[in-house]
Amino acid sequence: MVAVVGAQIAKFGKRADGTGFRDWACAAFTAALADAQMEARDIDALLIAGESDFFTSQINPATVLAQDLGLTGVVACRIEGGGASGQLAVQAGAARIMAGLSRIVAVLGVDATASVLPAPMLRLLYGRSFDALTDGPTGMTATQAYALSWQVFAAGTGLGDDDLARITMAHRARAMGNPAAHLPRLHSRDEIDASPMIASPYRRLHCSPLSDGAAVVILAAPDALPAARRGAPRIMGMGASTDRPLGARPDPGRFAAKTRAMQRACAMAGIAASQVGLAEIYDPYAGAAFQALDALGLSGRPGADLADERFGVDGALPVNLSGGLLGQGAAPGATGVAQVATCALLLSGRYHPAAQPGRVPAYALADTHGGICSNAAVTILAQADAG
Amino acid sequence: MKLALTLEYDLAEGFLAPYLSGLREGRAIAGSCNACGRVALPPEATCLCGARGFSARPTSGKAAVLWRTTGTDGDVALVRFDGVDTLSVARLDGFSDQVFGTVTASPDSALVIIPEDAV
Repeated sequence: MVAVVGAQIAKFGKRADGTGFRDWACAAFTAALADAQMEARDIDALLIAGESDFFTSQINPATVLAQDLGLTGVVACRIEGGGASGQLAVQAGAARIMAGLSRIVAVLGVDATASVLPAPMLRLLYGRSFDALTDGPTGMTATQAYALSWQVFAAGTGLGDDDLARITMAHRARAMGNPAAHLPRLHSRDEIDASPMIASPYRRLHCSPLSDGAAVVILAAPDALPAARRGAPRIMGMGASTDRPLGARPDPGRFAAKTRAMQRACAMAGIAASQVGLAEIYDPYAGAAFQALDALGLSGRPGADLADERFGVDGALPVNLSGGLLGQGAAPGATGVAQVATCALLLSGRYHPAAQPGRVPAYALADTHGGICSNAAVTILAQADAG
Repeated sequence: MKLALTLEYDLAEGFLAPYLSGLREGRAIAGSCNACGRVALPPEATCLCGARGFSARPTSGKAAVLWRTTGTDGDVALVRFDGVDTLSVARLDGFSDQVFGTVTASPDSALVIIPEDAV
């Protein structure tokens, strides 16, 4: 299977240091290469994940970044799947190796969604990221779409405002152990309840921040592992799926595409959901975390499991030790790559010490989606000797 | 470096033309699958049954608000139009606690409904 031999997650946040996405990409790539103990000449393909050229004004970023990274001459292209772009790029890179087209692939996710465009313009652009011809003119925002879906899910499960507050506090608190996080915070319930209502029941603090960010993983074929990374975690299972528009779904509260992606990933890995020992899940909004845990089959009672600390660093199933999107931040192209990088580092025991669990499981899961779970991607990683 | 781009799109409406032009006139025109008869609003290029192709199906324009979100982002709902099998995302205009509404004309082809009692 394909190994993750190098990983780097650049600082997520709002950059105000005069650097741009090309600088973040170069820095993350250099660090990932060093982590893999490789040179740029070892790379034979570069896959770029980025949600939209609108964020940088750079059409055709793959070619430009290949030159910046000293990779001119390699295969280079961009993969796009909305918020799932990063994870889909990792899967495309792994598939390329499995098909024998490449031996060592660099997957670079990068987006600039905090510092380049004013917030109203970003909101306008994201409003056209669902169906530009039909949803776009209504002015529906991403927060509104997620709020509607959550309401349906909450009505069917009995979850509510207490659960939204609890998971917001948990994920932001976990980000305290992640120096790359955008929004590490110890929130009080009062602070959450006092934040502005953006789209009921979502208040501002229930929403992930839009971030600048970059992340890189270096993937290698089994016969191309550097000596120091022979025990690197493997990608064991990959699954992806799409869904219809929110109103056309049988149940607008359930993330059916995520369920299908998970089933495909588990089938490829030859494991059951119950064998996943830690997970980085996609939580752009507080309620989406519960919807993800449900859709992935990781919990049949996610509210109670959260309250029981099952998802904490010392719990049976640590979830979003990075802080997730709520805490680490959301840089769309970088997010899925960062999730895979986080899982690989956690499985290797090499993550940030404050967030590294003492017990390292055999399997970890990275879950990303785009739209209102309109395009889902799930990747299962394993210890090199698992299974 | 400062950069301001003004983009003026001329988007072809294609198979959505009946739906989008209907909204400009204050009508909600759905699509009825030519194979199974399922009615979708907005119309779908390919139906759940897998068939492609639909016939324009005017609705009464009346809808029930099933799920609604309000806040600084505005007022949006999942609604069900009479005789339509799918739900639709609509912007609400002038709603307080009403649960029924009627589509209203929108020059930018937005699906907007106003309270039924305001008609």
